[in-house]
Order: sequence, then structure tokens, then C-alpha cells
Amino acid sequence: MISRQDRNAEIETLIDEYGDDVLRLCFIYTKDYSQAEDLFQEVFIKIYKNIDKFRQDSDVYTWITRIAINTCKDYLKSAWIKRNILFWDVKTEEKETVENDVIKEIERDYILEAVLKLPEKYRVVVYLYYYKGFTTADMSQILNTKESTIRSRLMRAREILRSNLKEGLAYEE
Amino acid sequence: MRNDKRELDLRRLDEIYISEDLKRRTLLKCKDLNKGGIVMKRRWAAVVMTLVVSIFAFTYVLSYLRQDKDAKDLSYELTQVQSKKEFVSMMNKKLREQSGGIRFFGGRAKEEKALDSSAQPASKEHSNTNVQVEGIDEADIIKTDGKYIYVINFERNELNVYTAEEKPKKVLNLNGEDILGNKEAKEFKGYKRHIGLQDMFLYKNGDRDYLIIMSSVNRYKENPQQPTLKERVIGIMPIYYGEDTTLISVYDVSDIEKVNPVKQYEITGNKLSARLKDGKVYLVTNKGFYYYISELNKNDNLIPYYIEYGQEAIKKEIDASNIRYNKQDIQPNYTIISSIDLINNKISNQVVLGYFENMYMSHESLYLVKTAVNYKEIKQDSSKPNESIAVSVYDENTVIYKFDLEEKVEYKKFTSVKGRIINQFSMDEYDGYFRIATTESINENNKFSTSNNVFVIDKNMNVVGKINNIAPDERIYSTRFVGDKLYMVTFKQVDPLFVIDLKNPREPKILGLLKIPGYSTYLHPYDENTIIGFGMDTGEMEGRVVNKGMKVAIFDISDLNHPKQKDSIEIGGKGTFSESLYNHKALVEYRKYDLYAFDLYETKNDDSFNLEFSGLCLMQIKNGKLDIKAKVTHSKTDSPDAYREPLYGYRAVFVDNLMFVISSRAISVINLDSMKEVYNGNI
Repeated sequence: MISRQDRNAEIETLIDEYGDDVLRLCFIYTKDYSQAEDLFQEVFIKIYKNIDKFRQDSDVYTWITRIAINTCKDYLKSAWIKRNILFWDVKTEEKETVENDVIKEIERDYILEAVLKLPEKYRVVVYLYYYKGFTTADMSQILNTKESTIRSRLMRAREILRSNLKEGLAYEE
Repeated sequence: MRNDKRELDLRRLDEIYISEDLKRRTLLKCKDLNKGGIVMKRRWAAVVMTLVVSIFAFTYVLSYLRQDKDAKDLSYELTQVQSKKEFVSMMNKKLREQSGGIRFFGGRAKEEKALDSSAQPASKEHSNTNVQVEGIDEADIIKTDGKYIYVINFERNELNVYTAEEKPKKVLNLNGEDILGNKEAKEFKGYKRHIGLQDMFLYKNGDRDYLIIMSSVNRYKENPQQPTLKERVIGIMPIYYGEDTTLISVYDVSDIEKVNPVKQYEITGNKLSARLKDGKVYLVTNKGFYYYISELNKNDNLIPYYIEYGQEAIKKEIDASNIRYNKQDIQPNYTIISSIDLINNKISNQVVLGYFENMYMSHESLYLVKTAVNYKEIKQDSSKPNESIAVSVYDENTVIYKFDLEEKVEYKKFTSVKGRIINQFSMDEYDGYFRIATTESINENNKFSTSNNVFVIDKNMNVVGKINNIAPDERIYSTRFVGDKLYMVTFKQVDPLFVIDLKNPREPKILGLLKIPGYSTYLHPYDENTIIGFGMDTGEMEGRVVNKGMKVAIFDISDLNHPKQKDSIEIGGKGTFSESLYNHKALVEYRKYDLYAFDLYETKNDDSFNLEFSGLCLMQIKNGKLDIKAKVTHSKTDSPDAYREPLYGYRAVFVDNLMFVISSRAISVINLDSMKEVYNGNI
């Protein structure tokens, strides 16, 4: 059992070390910065609660990423999201902040935009493979999915991206 | 780090990082948890959760076992609508439930192009649209009867007709927007209208020649129903709530100088697919709703309708007795099968609630197919947080509704099988039996995998024979049923071609298989001993399988137990593409010269994705060997702007000893005896 003080110190270290990655992952799933922030907090609350159950035999990054992925998936599965987001990309009123400007700028990036348009299961493999630079074997651990499935998802994701990006080029004429 | 990381640069994500404020808020929330012993309460919650999980998991196993028997799930049965009132209230209820104030987009029919002219042989030998079932034509954007070439140009929304001679002359030009003239149903007075040409059929009846054009019609009112400024700003694109219909126009083109409109019908919904058989056009459309329309307009707009054009345009509702629905799955969208009798100028319609992704038509029946997905969730033991906290499992069933094509289209029966299909070639009817090949996703102990199945279904829609678990962990890339054989390509790393014997419907069996690198996405029967596969070549890169160029292969199936690859060619490098890989109608066969023409976007074979060629590729099969005879382009590939030229627009038809190549900008003619270009002009 970890003491309260240790727990507080530990969570701060984890936020410093893995926070950015968790936030990026949440953004990849939700495509919405403010929603990603909310989920980010939920993820670290979960980590905080379960910190003493973490077994040293597995990798911290894998453990945290799994919690993040599951939190995001649960969020996407929630009834409200199912009813609304699937049919219509609801965009909430945006506050005029510098942060939002940056996010808008990022969204304008067409490659990222194309990645965000991918179905959820492809989005996450593209993120882990191309952005985080994991091997498919690592990803198989993190996602608890067969390596072959991950390879085929990557392949499919690339196919979709390629055709979408090509279309994008054609529109730019 | 990785070579291909350059291709997909996601460094923009670096700009997302946690702010001090977010960190502070998160830490505060965590520390708050310590007050009031929330952590302890959570422990209890964990115990309760485990219990729930085990019950859940148990029911899951039960339902899984039950389904595994291929027992027909009766909940898919269709019921007839009793009255107009019942239908309207059913739809209204569903629309309100589903939209919850937010616009609901009903299914938009997936465009599918291509048909075959089953027309009787004309004076000169010519190619026909590449179709799935012999004698059943599929609509396409280019058709020829040996005398004229009919082409739809999407860029200009035009239909052009050329003479099929060495120096083609344009003899007819029709703009999509003009196709209805001033005619309009009185219900739609005051609406704006856009008409876009889609595809067409040619039909010969005695000495009369007919041209049948399908177009999409969108009507909308410029009034307060249109998107608000806010909606326009946040929306991906402003949606004009309007009415989408499919217009079918029949012209008598026996004398191309004096083209006569014969009949026009307009059917509500977007076109899914169309077929022509024995003087009847079968058109399948799908209609979704925008919620606001049903709120603001009268309920009349919910009723499926069609417009008949004679002297006047008359809007008619489809009788409730022709509407069917599934009680378990009421959807605020519907699919209409219209059959239009070209000889007697009559139309009849059948409506089924719900959205269908695919159709298959044989000489006797029409099958509508949808994928039904059942989600199941398994919660996991939360005392093991380093395992996934929750997984969702879904199983996919393909539900098939059978309609008889006798005097009128009539619903017969349904069945459901496990897994999902890829396209119309996943299905076939032969000798009274319907056959279907599916890929199934399997979840066992949280391990996901796939497996493939073939089902044989009798006239009464009972599964009488099947093979399960073909090529575990792979999925189907293409299938082709030829008589009592099935050729199937599954793929993970290498491409096994399976030969499956369906002679005995009750006992289908795998005869042989061939494993080669790459995969085929379309299989074309050449003769009884030969199948041509169109697909991609693949290679390995850092332990992953990646697509390389396009690959065409000839399979020798004379020994069914030992299929062999006789010859193959690889075209281009990474990024090479042809529409024919996914649209069989983009491939044209001309057996007189054993020629195959398909559009090609070819990249340099050096992983650079740089354009090598964009145009039409002409391939010949001679003595079991593949040979590229010509590549025809209308763009100036050496110019730096070459990639801006139309990429996939190329189509070809063959008449006598000529090949006509048409893109959205130009038309050229190749003499097949000399393999020389004899004409090149703008359209």
C-alpha cells in the first residue's frame, strides 16, 4: 500500500512524463480538444486510484496507454455519443482562446485531418505506429490484439489515407 | 526512424501538450479523492462489478452458441404495412427518437456504376459492359451498340453520342439539367431543381433502339428551412434540406437525328444499383430523411412516392400494401425496388424499411442484403487494471431478403448468415441455390481473429450446405462463382486462391488452393480452364505487408485440385491504382482480339509515389501469356502539371477493329490491327 504522499508525488511524476502522450491520444480519439482535456483528467484519476495495483512486471507506458485507450473507448461508446456524434460531428461553442487558435491551426493540417477522419480502430494504430514509432509487436501488447490484425489495420488505414489524400489533391485544383 | 514515417508526418500533434492549468486541475481532483474514503468505496464497487461480469459473460456464451447453429433469427422477418396512417406514425416516432433535435442523416445510397448491354448483336462486333450475370445488363457511364458510342461526362454533366468510326463525329449532346424541360409536379412548384446524369442502359426491341438514362434529382426550397448562418459556418458543408429522387428517362434513339422521349419516371431516394433484364429495368433506391423536413412539412413527404411524366407530371404515393418492415428494426429510411416495363410503359414498386448496402440479381430473383451488427460488451475484472478494462464484441450477420421477379417484384423470404460480404460478387444463384461467401470476425478469450464461410441456401432460404472456418485469420478479397465452382481469394500475407466445389449443394468442399504473394480484388473467368485475377502485388517491409504495384495474374484451373499461376505481370510501384480493382465495369473485355482495357494510374517503381503514367492500359492474353500492348493517355505526362490531369476518368469500348478511349477531356481512337492511334480530339 502506497502512502498518500507517495501517491501524490507519483501521480505528478506520471503526469509530467506521460501527460502529453495521453492528451494526444485522447485528442486522436475524440477529435475535440476540450473533450480530450476532460478525458485526460479521467485517465489520471483512474491511474491515481489504481496506482498500487500496477504490477512492476509490465511496462508503465503500456499500462497507462491501455487505461487511456479504454477510457476513450468507453466515452465513445456512451449512449449520448452514440446518439449524437455518429450522425453529426457536434462542435461545441468554441471559446476564443490562444489554445483554441492553436488547435484550429492543427486541425487545418490536412494529413492530421485525414488521419482524424479514419475510423477509430485505424486512427489509433496510425497514431501508435507513425507518431509514437512503436513496432507492430509492441502495439499488439498495448492494444491486446493480434499482430496480424494490427498489420492489416495499418495496411487498410494507409489505403484509405492514400485515396483520401489523393482526393484532397484533386479538390485543390 | 522509419522510412515511411516521412510519408505520414504527424508532427503537428507535438503542438498538443498539457498546460500547467490542466495539470493543476487534474492533481487537485486526484487529491480530492482521498477525502471521504472514495478509494475504499471503489473497492466495493469492484466486487460488484466482477459479479455482473460473470453473468454477462455467461449469457454471451449462450447466445453465441445459439447463433452458431445457423438457426435463422426470426427477428429479421418482414411484415406488411397495414395503412398509410400506420406507416406515417411509425416513421414519425422513429425520426423523433433517433434525431433528438439533431439532424438525422438517413442512409445515402452508395453509388454503384456499371452495366452490360445485353442488347442483341448489332451490325458490327463490339464490346459490352463487363457484368456479373450473363444476360443481365448493369448500368454504366459508357455504352456502345456497335454504331454509336454513348458517354456520360460527369465533369460537364453531359451525355454525348459519337459515331463509332475512325473519325468519330458527335451526333448528340444532352445536358443533365435540361432532361426534364419545364415539367414539374404541382407539389414541387416553387422548388429549385438540380439534375445530374448518372448512368445508362441501351435496349433493343425489334427494330427500335432505346436509351435509358438514370439521373439524380435534388429539389430544395430557398426558404427559412435552409441552414442557418451558424450551421453553415460549423458544418462541413451546408446541407440543403431537399428531396432526393432518381429520374429514369427512356428515349427512342432508333433515329439518332430525331431522338424521342418515350417516358420518364422519378422515384424517391438515391440510386443504389440498377439492372436491365428482358425489357424491364430494375432500379433500387434508398431514401433517408432530414428531420426538419418531417417537422415542418406535412407528413405526406414521409410516404414513398414516384412521379410519372406524361403530358403532366403527376406525383403518386406508393400504396401502403407495398411497404414492408421488420418489427424489431424500424428505421427512418427505406429502400425501393422499382421495376419499369419498357415495353408496356408500366412501373411497380416495392418498399422495405431500412438501408441495404448491396443487391444481387439473377434471372429469377433479386436479393437485398444488409449487415446487421449486434454489439455486446464484456466488462473485465477491474482488479486487473493492466488488462483492458472493457472490450466490446460485435457479431455481424448478413441478412438476405429474397424477392421473386415474376409479373411483379414480390417479397418471398429471408435468411441470415454469419459474417459480412464484400460486394455483389460475394453472391450468386445457380440451379435454384443461392450461394454467399462471408468473412466473420471472431472473438475468443479476447483474441480477435477472422474466418471465412461459404453458405449454400435453397429456394426456401434455408441453409443446406456450408463450409466454415476457411483460411482462419485471413479475410476474403475477392470471390467469383462460376457454375458449380467458387474461386475465392483470401489474404493475409500471401494470396491463396481457393477452388471450392459446390456441385453437391449439401456438401460443398474445398478442392484446391494456391498460395502466391499479392492478392486479387477481382476475378474474371476467361475460359473453363482459366481465371484472370486483378489485384495488387505485395511485399514485406519491416515485418509488415505493404502494397506494391498492381498485379494481373492468370490462374490455370484445369486441374481443380492444383490451381497454378501461369503468368503474371506487375505494373508500377507503390500507389499504383486502377478503378477496375474495385469496379468491374471499369474493365472491358474484347474477346475478338483477346484484349482487356482498364484505367491506370501508375507510379514509378521506386517507392517515390511519383507519377509514371496516367491513362488507359490495354492488355492482351495470348497462349496463356499476359502482354501490355498499349498505353493511351490524353494528358501530357512530361509536364509538371501532369498529376492535375484527370486521374481515373479513362474508359474504353471496342467496335470492330477499333478501340475508343474516352476521358473527361478527350476521345482517341486506336486501330487494333496496327496498334496505332488514328484519331485524337477534344470532346
